[in-house]
Amino acid sequence: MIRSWPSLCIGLGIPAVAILGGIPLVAGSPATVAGFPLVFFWMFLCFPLTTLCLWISWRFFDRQHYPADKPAAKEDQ
Amino acid sequence: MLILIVAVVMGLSILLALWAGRSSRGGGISEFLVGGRSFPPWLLYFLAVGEVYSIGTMIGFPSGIYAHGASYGIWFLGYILLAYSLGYFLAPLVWRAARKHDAMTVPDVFGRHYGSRTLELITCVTMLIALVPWGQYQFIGLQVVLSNLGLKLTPVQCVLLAGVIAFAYIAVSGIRSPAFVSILKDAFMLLGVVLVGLAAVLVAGGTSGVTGPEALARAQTTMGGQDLWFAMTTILFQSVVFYLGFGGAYVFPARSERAVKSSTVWMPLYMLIYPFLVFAAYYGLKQHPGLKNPNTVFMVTAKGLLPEPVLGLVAAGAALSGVLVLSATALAIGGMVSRNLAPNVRPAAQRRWTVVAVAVFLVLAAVLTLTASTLMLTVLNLTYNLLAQVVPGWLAILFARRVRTAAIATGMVVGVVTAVVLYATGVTLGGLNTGLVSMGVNMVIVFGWSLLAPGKRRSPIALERNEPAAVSPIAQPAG
Repeated sequence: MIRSWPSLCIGLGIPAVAILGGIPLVAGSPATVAGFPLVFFWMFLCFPLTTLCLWISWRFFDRQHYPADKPAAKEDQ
Repeated sequence: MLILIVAVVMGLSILLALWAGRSSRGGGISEFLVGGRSFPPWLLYFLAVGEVYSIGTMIGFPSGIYAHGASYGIWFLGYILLAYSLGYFLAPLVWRAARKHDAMTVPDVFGRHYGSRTLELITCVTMLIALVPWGQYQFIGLQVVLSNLGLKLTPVQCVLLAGVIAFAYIAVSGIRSPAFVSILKDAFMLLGVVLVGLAAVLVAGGTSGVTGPEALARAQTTMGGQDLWFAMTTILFQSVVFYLGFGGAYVFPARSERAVKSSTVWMPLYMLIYPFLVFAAYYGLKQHPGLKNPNTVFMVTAKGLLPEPVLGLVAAGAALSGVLVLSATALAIGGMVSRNLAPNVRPAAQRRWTVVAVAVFLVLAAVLTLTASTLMLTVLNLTYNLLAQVVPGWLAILFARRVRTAAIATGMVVGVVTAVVLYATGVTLGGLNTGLVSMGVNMVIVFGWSLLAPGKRRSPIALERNEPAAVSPIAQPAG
């Protein structure tokens, strides 16, 4: 059922650990980074991190299994 | 001036909706509900972000931070972000299930996969119940925006105005309207959010003047104990529900599994607008403490920072985002009423029925807004707790072989009742998100029952072949 474990670990595993594991670690800290409370700064870092992880999963593990779309007739009109 | 700008933008959006549907006018119900399953990745991206970053982002998110501090801000961001990772893997399967069963609504998938009209009906009613508070969520936001424009409008008139515009989108072009209007909305929303956030930072003399320790007490920027527990369980719970509960709306119109998967990759980047909203929320907390209605914090902050013409653009972005989601939700509901709830409606008449159901839904959600308005993010929690009840069924369809139809139906009914009781009684459970409890009960019934007395063997969707990309849109039924 799971075609690519590396894809799952990178695309889901890393973001899930960063969010579900990282936030409790920084939630109680009063520190600030660039003026942001640490917990928000950590969350903002997770945005590009998640896209990077999904892009790696897509580009290196999944893309070849999803054949390119042929343009549908409607879109050509 | 303010009102004129908002009116012009809303007028433009209706013209755009008309243009969006130019090639599909007179199309059948599939064109109306799922765009003939023909959306390429870029259009799907705009449809999805148009619906995800609704008025809840501009109005609800800052109000959550204003009323409850960091924990509400963090769960809001965390669940959307984690949902994309889950959606990258789950959403293509949801699309595969819809295509296999030629489904246009979620109850279509459930009913056809299990060959059960009863299950189709129960799924339909569950989703209808769940989507009414979602409509209410949009209406509360719209009411806040419209009532802050300086118009002398009563709440009833605000809600009426928003409902009429949402109805107009759908009546002219079906699902293509929200997808195309979303592009316009994004431009205004980005502009509005960035301007308010930047203005807050400039006026406060730097970021630390807004969110730094000299501006805010420690309790406002950190979280622990029950707050942290609530935030983490909400992130976990709502991220799972995100694609499996709402999914149909922005997955079914895709052209292929590839379109679904590849468009998800870039969605988290859209979240880079949130730092500006965090600035706006904390600036509002410091400058405008003690607001009677926390939902108004973004608009009040924007009013205090921006000149009137710019405020008009911000308000237009907020209003568009609310009306857009309202219209897409109304359409999903209309589709379920005409295809799943009302028996034996001829395909040719389904489009007409859909439009009638859209109007009824808008009225219902509007009435609920006027009689039971509350903090927006609380209504969001309720929506998710109810929508979660279709998740065990989806998991069964995607991954399980021998689940009993009766178990899914029973689990759903018990789950909805549990969710409503927990919400109505206001039980806190030490901070645990109560949606996890109602969905857990549902899950135990579905999989426990099927383990004890396995049902008929069915092939799970995840095991079926990933079919090549669509060469042409799905066939159009007559009418």
